[in-house]
Amino acid sequence: MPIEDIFEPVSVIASFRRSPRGSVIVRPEIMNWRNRHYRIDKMGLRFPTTKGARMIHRFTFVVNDTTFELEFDAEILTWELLRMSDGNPT
Amino acid sequence: METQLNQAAPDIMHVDLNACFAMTEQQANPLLRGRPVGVTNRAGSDWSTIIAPSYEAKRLGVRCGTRVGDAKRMAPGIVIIETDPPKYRYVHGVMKAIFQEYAPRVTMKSIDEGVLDFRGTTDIRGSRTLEDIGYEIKDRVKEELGEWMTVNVGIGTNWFLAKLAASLNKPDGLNTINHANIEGIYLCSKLTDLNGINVKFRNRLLTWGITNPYEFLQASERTLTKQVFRSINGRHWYLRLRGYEVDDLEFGMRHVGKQYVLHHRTAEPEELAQVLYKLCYWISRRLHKYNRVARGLELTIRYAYPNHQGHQDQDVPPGPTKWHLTHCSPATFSHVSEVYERALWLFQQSPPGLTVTQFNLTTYQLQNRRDEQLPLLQTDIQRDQRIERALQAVNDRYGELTLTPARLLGAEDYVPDKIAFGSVRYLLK
Repeated sequence: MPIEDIFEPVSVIASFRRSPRGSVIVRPEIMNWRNRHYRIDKMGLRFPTTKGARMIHRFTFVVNDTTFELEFDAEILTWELLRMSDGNPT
Repeated sequence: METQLNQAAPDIMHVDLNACFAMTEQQANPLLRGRPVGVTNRAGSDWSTIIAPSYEAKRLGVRCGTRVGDAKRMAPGIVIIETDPPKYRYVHGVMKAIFQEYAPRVTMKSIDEGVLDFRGTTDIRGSRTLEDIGYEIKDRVKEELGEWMTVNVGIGTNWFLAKLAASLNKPDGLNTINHANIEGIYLCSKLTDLNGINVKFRNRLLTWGITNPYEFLQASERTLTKQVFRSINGRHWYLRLRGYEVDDLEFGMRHVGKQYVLHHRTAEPEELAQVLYKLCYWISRRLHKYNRVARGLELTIRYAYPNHQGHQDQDVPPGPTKWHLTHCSPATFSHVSEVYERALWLFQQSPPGLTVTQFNLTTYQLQNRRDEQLPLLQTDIQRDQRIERALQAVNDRYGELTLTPARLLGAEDYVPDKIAFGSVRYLLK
């Protein structure tokens, strides 16, 4: 399972806190996908992008031995699981 | 009269991110850290090239430009990843914002490197040295982008020496070059370690008996100007090597273009015309974004060998592998239909029946839109412009190519967003 596309809606509990420099740090903590809870072990990267005029935030993180990539649509406030990977070559 | 080494305090800092795209992917996916990774624009093909190998892959011999198939043989287990431009744009934006907090003048040289000019800031910095600031920038990059992200910092009296200093201890180095250590560093370096000296220039220097950077430094201005370079470049190198600034120049936008390597190589004119149209679409979008119109258009096409689907056959002589043509018109253009009309005409002049592997379409002779001369005889131009503005408004709102012309229906070969190396012109969304 090098990279598997998912594109399914998920529920997420996220934390919001301020960094010492004043910026807001958002971190998904728990993801519910297909009625199973995934507690995030390690964050990878958060980065913004756009879909047309809509602001999108993408998050990558590790749960056990799998990396997940989530997308948060800041306009309609939904979370979507984009893909997962075990980091192995194709 | 011989010019001495620049004795001024070094106040130019060069910061570059190590193996930018690969390191960003390793930051994003912690499972890739410590493993060989190669980033390519086309993950599905062994014939595409690696544009950013991770340090682990570099240690196994993988370089920028190595084909994916070769990389897999050199570094078994290498993870090949397709480029993800939003990630790299974000990293670029964060780095630029950090740099701007420290220096009054910041020039981003490419997506992964910037120059911080601290000239005139001695009083503001107080007792803090540029080395202190360099280490702080390293910490800030880790803090804001992630613990895997490391940068090289170089400090010198000009852009050239700062960049050379940044290359001395990769990854995660911080070095200063000044008049006291410059000769020792030149003695330990190769000519091709110098930014701007490629193999061609190295060979030219070798012809004149200059075999290393120290001998390059010792060469007289007359030798460099009259014999080696036979141009003003000789004087520029003479000053650059001594730490005087000659590269602090910014050029305006002179061309707008897009290059595309076909996923599905084909000689089919209809299919190629669709790909060409999409290039025209992106170029038109960029011209509008930067409020420019063009007068000239250049099309370059690369072909596969006649029998080629990846292999050369020794028995078959190779046909043309590259063709290009330019055309400059009195009337300016910027709309998709105008760019496409010209591009299609250029394409129709190319040799037929050859399998195309790559298009490179570039507009030149740019001018600001407000200077645009409207043609007297073309009556439907305003109608075309209104239609295109409406189309762009929809695509701005809902995403690129949400509305497309009917001629693209059924087109399979999508032209995705890619990041160009060596330029930050197209980075701002």
